[in-house]
Amino acid sequence: MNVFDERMRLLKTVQQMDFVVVEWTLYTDTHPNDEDALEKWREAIKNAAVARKQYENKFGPLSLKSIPSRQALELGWRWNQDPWPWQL
Amino acid sequence: MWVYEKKLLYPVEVTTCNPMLARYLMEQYGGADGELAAALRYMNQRYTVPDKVIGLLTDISTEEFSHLEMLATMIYKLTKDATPEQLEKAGLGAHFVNHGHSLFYENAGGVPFTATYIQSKGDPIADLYEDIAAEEKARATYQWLIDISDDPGINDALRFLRERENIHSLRFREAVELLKDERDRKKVF
Amino acid sequence: MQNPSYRGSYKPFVSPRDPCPPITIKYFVLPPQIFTNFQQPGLPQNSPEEALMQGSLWPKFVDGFSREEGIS
Repeated sequence: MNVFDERMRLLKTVQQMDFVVVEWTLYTDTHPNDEDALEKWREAIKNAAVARKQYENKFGPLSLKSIPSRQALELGWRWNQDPWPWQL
Repeated sequence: MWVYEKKLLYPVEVTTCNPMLARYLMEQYGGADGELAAALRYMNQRYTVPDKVIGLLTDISTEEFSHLEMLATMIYKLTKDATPEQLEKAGLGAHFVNHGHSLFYENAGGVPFTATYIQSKGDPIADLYEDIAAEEKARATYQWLIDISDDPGINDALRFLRERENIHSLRFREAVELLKDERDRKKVF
Repeated sequence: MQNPSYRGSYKPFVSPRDPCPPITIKYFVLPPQIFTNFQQPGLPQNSPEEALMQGSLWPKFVDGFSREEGIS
C-alpha cells in the first residue's frame, strides 16, 4: 500500500470513530439520563482517541489539541502544510 | 471558541470536472436552506433558548460548519481547473468575472447570501419549529441535487448529508418534547 | 425504492390538455423521523463503518434516496 492510500485509510478510520462520537453526543444532548448511552458515548470518545493517535503518529496532528512529536517536527512536519482537507 | 480539525467530517470524492454541478451545489453552500444558513441560524438562536437545548443547538451548528466545508470541497474540486469557457458554459460566467475561481456564498441562481434567510424569534417553539422546517427543506434540496447529479462521488456525499438532515430534524423534534415536559410543573427554585 | 414504508403516493388529476406526458402516480418522501417524536433508548446501532457510510448510527432513521425512485 502506498503512503497516500495508507493515509486515506487511517484518516477514514478517524472519520468513522469521530462520527460515532458526533452521533452519541447529539443523542445524549436530548437523552441526558440514558446511562447506557452515556457509557457508549464515553467508549466512543476513547475509541476515537485511539484511532486519532494512530493517524497522527504517522501523518502529524489533526488539530492544535494534539501534541506534535519531536520526530514529526524534525522530519519537517508543520501545521501550515498541505494537503488541506479540501485538497486531498 | 472553536478549534480547527484538519479533516472532513466525511470523505468526499469527486470524479468529474463539472462546473455545472458546482453551480447547483451552491444552493446548499450559500442558499436559503443551505449549510451556512443552518450553522448561523442555530449558533445565534442558542443564546436565548432554554438551557436544556443550548447544547443541542451548539453541537448541530458546529456540525453544520463541517457540512459547509464538505460543500466547499465539492464546489472547489468540480471547478478547480475549469477554463473560463467551461465556467461560462456552466452558467458561471457572471460568477467568474466577479469572483474568478474562488468560492462565494451565493445560491444556485447566483443570489448572494443574506441574513434574511434566517430568523431568531426569542420564542423557543417558534425557533425550534423553524429549525425542524429548515432541516426538512435542506433534505428536499439534497434530494433534487441527487436527482440532477450524475457524479457517483458527489451523490455519495449528498446521500450522507441528506441523512444528517433526518437526524437533526429528529433531535430538534426531541428538543420540542423536552420543553413540553416543563408544562404546568409546580416548581420550587 | 430503498424503503417503501418511508414514501407516500397519490394520483394527481390528469387533464386531456396537459402538455407534458402525464405522470399518473406521484411519490413523495415521508422520512423516518416524522414517525418518532422521541427516540427510544436501546435501538440497534450500526458499526462505525456502517454508521459513517449511512450517515446515521441508527439504521431505524435511514431511508436512503436515489434518482431511480423517480420521486421528482
